[in-house]
Amino acid sequence: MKSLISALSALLIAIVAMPAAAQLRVDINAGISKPMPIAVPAFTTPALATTAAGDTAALGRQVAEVVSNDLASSGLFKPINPSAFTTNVAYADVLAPRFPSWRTVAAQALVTGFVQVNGDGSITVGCYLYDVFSEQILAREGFSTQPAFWRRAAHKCADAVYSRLTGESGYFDSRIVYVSETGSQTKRIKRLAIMDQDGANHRFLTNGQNLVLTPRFSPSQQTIAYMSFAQNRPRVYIYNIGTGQQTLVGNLPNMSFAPRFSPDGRFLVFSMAQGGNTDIYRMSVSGGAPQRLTSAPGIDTAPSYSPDGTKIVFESDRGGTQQVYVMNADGSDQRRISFGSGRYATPVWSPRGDLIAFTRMGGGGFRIGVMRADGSGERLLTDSWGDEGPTWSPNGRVVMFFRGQRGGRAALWSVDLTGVNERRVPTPLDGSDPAWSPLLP
Amino acid sequence: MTENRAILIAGAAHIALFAGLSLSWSLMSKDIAPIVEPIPVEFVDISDVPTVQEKPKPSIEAAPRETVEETQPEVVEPDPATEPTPPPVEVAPREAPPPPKPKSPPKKPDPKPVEKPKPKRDLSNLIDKSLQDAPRKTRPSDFAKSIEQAIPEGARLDARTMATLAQAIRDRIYRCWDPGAGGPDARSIKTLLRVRVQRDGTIIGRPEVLSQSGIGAGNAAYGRVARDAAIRAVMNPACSLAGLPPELYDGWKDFELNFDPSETL
Repeated sequence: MKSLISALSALLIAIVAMPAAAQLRVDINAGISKPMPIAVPAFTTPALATTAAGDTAALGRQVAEVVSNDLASSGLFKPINPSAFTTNVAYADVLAPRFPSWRTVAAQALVTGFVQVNGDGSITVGCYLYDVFSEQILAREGFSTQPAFWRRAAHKCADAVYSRLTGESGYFDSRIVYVSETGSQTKRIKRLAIMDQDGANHRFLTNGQNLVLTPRFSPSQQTIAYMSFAQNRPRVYIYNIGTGQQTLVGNLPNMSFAPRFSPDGRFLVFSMAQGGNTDIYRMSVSGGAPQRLTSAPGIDTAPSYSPDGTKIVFESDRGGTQQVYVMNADGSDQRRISFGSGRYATPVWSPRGDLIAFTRMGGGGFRIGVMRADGSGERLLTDSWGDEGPTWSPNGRVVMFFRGQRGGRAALWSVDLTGVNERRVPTPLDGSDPAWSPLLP
Repeated sequence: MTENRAILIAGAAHIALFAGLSLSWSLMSKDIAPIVEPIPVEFVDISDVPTVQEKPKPSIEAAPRETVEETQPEVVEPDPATEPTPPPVEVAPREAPPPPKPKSPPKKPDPKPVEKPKPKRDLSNLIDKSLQDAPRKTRPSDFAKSIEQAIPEGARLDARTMATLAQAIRDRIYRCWDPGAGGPDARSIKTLLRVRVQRDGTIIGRPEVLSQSGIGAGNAAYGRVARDAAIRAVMNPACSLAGLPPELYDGWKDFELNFDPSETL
């Protein structure tokens, strides 16, 4: 004991008597995460010119607004109210911002840009990102497109900003296909609809004559697989976005549903009921006989490929209740990965490959959750009465789903992977079954 | 009375029937025209960017330098002629067609105090909370004050004093450090900065990145973000080092900051 005390004393003396370290070193192990204040003043124009989508000054204001809304919707940025700006941004300021005035409004990052008309009638949107404190340029991108598609240029600008400031790829220049719903609960009219991820450019794809469900984009985004009750037979169809043509997939004898494309777009996986059993099949998009992947008694459905195409996650009640299973793409090595209480449905593999989103049912509600691909690390992202049908943003950071209400109404919502920043996605009518596209080309 | 009511009800029913038929006709009868596919947005060169194709981004240091002047004939540079007021000196008009002139950040010849933000006093303050958050006058927390008061005057820079000083600096900086929302890949990246400070707490120049660890092939983009976030924390006027004990200036005039997000998320 004595020796311990003397040893400690010696150590203390040594510490106190130690000469000053050559250089102070400070460890920062904690921080505060909050949305980054960012300024997005109206984009300027080198010369006011008229386009089919309005003059370049108006476009500049609208582009900045779209960029600002995109960034705010991520929950990671807090665009500063333009009414607080202390400076007007002229064209010359695009390349040489007056940083002190942006520090005055507490902006940490600044997005400037311009809209100009080119000789061929197209427009170029220039997009510049600055760090306000260190007065450094962080990114610059230029986008050329027809004036009518100025929103896409704005989304691409927002993607560039998001990507540079977070290290993640962007997701704003993408679209959503979903089922638009209207009418009473007993006479519900369901139409396929498509829109930008922020709800703009909304269009109906089908006219509501036939009930439709579970639309899913192909990787090329030129086609959508979905289930339709046309001729009162629920079967899988493919919709060609360019032509509006709807094609029945194969001439399958039985009810087929829950289609999804393989990552390379060459195959469809779907469920088909046969002889009292529902199994998962794979079929070439170009036709041919379907290949049966599962055969267990019960209902196997909602297949979704891993992004590398080697595995498929699906739901099955073969064990007595709906649970999530994973198998190899050829159907081998099927194993259950969900073991929590309640039931699990509609698993979807993240485009990053690391997580699987699902609907968890139990405890008097439907909730959206994620787990790792091996079933570990499960956590719920939402806590509501009727959240279903998750779909991933192209960068795997946001999950969109639909939230049902008592009485049959439903709306689209999105939530960040951290479970915060829950947002309603605007749709003109009720909405369900959303599917997020990959990033547009 | 009842007759009028019956007429009203019958009228309303007819209108409802007509509206219903019209709606169902519009929904059921016509085919929906195929939508026009968006034309791909092309990436084009702007200003002094050699290319804006998706490729590894230039580093901060590499981005705005003058290396691309002669390689970029097409310039979309702000034309000073369109500017009604004289442009700032840095963007002095050049004869057309000006070669792309990357704007290197204005260098600070002499370290000057970081400009103190002036909170605006108008209604927008009520709308935009960030105005209240960041530009407030820097004030060390009570904890930091207690630490600084605990340092005896004329104290020598022994290990204990240095540790106390480190805690005081830590208490200032961490409030402005946003470790980000990146996943596990981002959490492994540590960033070591060297910071030089004037007696009044002003950072001299920009902090120097001494090293970064934990960066591999899969998380390089996070490395750049981590470096920026660390520098931003030091440069943020809301987390100024003003008020550290001047008698210990030798201890904090030049120090290292090690940002480690491994336990933050």
